[in-house]
Amino acid sequence: MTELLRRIDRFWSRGIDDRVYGLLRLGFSLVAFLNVLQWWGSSDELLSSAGFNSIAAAKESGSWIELNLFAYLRDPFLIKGALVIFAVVHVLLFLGVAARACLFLSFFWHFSYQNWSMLGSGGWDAVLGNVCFILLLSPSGKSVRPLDWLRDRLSGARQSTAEVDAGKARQLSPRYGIYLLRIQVFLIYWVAVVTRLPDPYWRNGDFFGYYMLSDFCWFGGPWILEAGWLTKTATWGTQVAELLIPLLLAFRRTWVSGFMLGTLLHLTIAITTPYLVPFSLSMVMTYLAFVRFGSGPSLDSPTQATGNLK
Amino acid sequence: MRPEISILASLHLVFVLLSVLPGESRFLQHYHSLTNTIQQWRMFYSAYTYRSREFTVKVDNGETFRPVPPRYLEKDGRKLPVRIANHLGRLANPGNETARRVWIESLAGEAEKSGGRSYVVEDRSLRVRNFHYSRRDGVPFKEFVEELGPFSAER
Repeated sequence: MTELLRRIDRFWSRGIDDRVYGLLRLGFSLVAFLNVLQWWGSSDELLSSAGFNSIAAAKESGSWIELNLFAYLRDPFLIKGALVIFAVVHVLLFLGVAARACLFLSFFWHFSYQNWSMLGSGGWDAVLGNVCFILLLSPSGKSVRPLDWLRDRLSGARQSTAEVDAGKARQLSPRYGIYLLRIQVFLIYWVAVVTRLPDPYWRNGDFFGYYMLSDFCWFGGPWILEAGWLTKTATWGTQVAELLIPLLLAFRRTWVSGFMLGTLLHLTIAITTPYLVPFSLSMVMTYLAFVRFGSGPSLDSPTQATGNLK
Repeated sequence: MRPEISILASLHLVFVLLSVLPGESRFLQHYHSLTNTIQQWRMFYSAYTYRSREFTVKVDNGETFRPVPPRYLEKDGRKLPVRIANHLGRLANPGNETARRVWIESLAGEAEKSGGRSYVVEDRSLRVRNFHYSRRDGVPFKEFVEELGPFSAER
């Protein structure tokens, strides 16, 4: 039993380049910031007492309502004020200022709106909330701080970029947060693929055609009826791509290909479907957990990381 | 690294993996709500595979109708922000029992059946125009859409 626990501990605590946490924090804060801005136009209807969701409805649909910000903040004007604060929180998080406190507030925001307005939340909100939870309990990636970088540049730091990079590459952090996220990226894509398998429209390749005629698409129109090959290629191609993306991302030699394939897929989704731009950004952001740096320690360095949560 | 972090990370992973399986327990639902873990892996992406025929909404006057995916949503002549559109789009998503209840509660007394395969919903000042594009089993895609008329369904 003790040996098993030791093995589990070794698995999670092995060292990983701290910059991966830092990059993920930057990517998350940027997308979460844009996400806060996007709530601006909908907050009255979806979060305040003037909108759709009564407290009774929220209690029925959400959990932990007593811990929810919007159970207490009901006025539309005050909610707008809270959005401004949360936008600033994500700017500070990007800069690496009081990162842990900012992550806590960010988590509070994601937890609150998702449980208050579940119907107004999309899949990308769940991804953001999930990444936030993992970052909150992981090393904060303090080796990546835009403010430090800016200060160095302004003060004409003598260290060469290579020296700085080499110094930062030596910082290792326990890998549990990054590995949890990687596993969940696998789950997102593969479970999505499996979920679609019983659907006859995914199986016969017609799904994309229906999708192009839905409200989600910019370029929908009768022309799609004449492009059966495109419908089938896009439908089945999406399935294949989503099987491949996490696999390619997982290996050092192929992670760049996975990054490019995933970005291409989500770029296509974003172009055809402006509604889903936040979704595409959120998914591409999770790829940062797979980044490998050219120099520095191996990603799966056997070195036991000694860093604690800071 | 403190050993309890390893244990917590392992437990978190177990709970996430369990969420993939059907039939989530109440404990897991609460856990996922609290941690923001993605609790609807099974529904992820599949939100766009609407099957409106699978459930109906009953309004106060006793009428029932089947909600269909919104073709587009507008308020005062403007397209709605994505989140409102999402909110209303869930009308047609049968995957979430709670969502259905909330929707039915939200729409009760405010929905108006317009007949045929489309309807108009008045929810506060929000006007939602729905156009049917549900699939019909056994009908090839092209024939189905041509019969329906992809952009002539406005009524």
